[in-house]
Amino acid sequence: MAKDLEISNIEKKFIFDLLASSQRLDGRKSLLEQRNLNIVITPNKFGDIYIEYKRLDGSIATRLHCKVTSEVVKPKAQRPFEGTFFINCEFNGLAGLNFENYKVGSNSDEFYYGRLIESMILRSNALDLEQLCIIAGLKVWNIRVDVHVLEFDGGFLELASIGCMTSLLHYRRPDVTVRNEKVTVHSFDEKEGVKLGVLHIPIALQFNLFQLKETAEIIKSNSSIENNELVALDCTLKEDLLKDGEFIIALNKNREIVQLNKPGGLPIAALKLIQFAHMALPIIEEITSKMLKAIEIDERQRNKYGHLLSAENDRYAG
Amino acid sequence: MSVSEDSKNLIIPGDILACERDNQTVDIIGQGIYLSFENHLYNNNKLYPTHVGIENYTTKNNKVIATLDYNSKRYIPQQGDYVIATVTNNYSTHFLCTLNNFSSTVTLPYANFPQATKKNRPKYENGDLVYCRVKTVDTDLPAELECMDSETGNKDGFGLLEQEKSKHTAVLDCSLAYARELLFNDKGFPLLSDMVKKNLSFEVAIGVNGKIWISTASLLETLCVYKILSKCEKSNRDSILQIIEETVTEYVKE
Repeated sequence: MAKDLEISNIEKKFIFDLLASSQRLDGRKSLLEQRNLNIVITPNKFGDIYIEYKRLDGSIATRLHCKVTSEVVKPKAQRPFEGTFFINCEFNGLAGLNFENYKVGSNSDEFYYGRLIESMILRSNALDLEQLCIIAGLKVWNIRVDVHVLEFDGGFLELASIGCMTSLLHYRRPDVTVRNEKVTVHSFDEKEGVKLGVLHIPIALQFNLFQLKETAEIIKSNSSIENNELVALDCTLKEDLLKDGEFIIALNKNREIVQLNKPGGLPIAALKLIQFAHMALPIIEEITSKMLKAIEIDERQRNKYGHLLSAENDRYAG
Repeated sequence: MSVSEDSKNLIIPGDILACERDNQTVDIIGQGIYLSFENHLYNNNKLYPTHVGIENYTTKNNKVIATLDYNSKRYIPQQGDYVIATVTNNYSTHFLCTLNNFSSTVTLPYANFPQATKKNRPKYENGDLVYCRVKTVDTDLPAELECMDSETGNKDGFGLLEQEKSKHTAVLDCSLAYARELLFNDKGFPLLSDMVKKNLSFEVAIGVNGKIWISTASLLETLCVYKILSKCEKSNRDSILQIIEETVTEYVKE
């Protein structure tokens, strides 16, 4: 019953004309401007985060819920010293009617982006899996991140990567003690939770490419393919359907490129890669500081009465 | 006994409509009211409200029109509605169109165009917008659209919403109540005439399926009109003039 989003030719042309004159349909005045990022950490819970993009008028465009859970499992046979990590992305009818009776397959968006973020975190060793080992070959922690889309108007990849990293940074797993191969998992009342070993914070950013000249026109006039694209950040759902290609880069603030992905679409000049990486860096830095600030504020809220329990003496500098 | 024209009752599905209670005959039913055919033989068909809204009775040419003013985002075709349809596919006898994103398709047969013959068929591409009217609605079949006045056979302003070379066009999705308000209640809600007074020149076509088509001479003007229309949907009536002024100075700086 539910059909896909139908965009009429008139709307297509209008959105594209707007992009060509660096205007956006939601009121942004630049192609490289992102919507306002807002991170909400649920108080009294660990690793339970709502993350949202807000439009200029304050309404919520995209909203995700990221939650980390952990359980004790048997490790994989090839890697007995490492814990396991898994990301589960889910779109459902809540995000929009276009996701109703939506089949999860190997070529669906959620699968693609979910794998992308998982490999971004795992292969760059952003999450230290060896810290998750309890007894080698027998018991390790399995960390699972559930990403649910509650409202959707584009920008899934960025939000999901930010949400995953924030919730991993914020999460605390229960402490364990091992005595004579007997494992005791302590509740948070008994022992303070243990933070996960997050070694660095990679964040993915998607550059959306729009073709300016038709391909046939380029071949006819024999001109170069360079500068034939418009580059836009943080596309809305409608813009996302009209794009001709995408370029995904995952960076951390230490200037390390973690992942590059250019799955087909509009060809770009090789040197553009470096340009995109340089463009992404300040954005990533800003997002990282925002994430850390949100966690710090939450930490302060939690330890409101921490100073009362402290045995530290007042010290006065010289 | 007649139903008073200014009775403004809030109706919830399950309530009994005032015309039903007072045994008043209604000649034309509008949006939000469902005619049940369950007792067809005994000629006691019943009218039921299908949405939450305010019931409304008006008399035009000695005919009582009953409507239920409600707001919704999803359009359900009703006979005689002026709509903007998007062509999604074409077959040997008809176009397939959608009136709403994510909803079932409706048909636009080639026979429902003015001067239709077997050879003279309209050439629309997929994704074109067509201004048309809902001809018939059936519970078991997709609704049927028409692009002419079927009584006179005239074109009557229906047809393709064209994308002229020198013009910039856009289409805006809005809620159903807002589209109806713009289309039928220009005295009570004079947004469009206010915009014309502010020296904005534009063409507009409003479909009650919640689509507004705009056409102006420049891109920024189109964006300006688009922004005004989408902002006014969710704002107070008193602040309309202010919104128009602000948006015009933001986008059309002259």
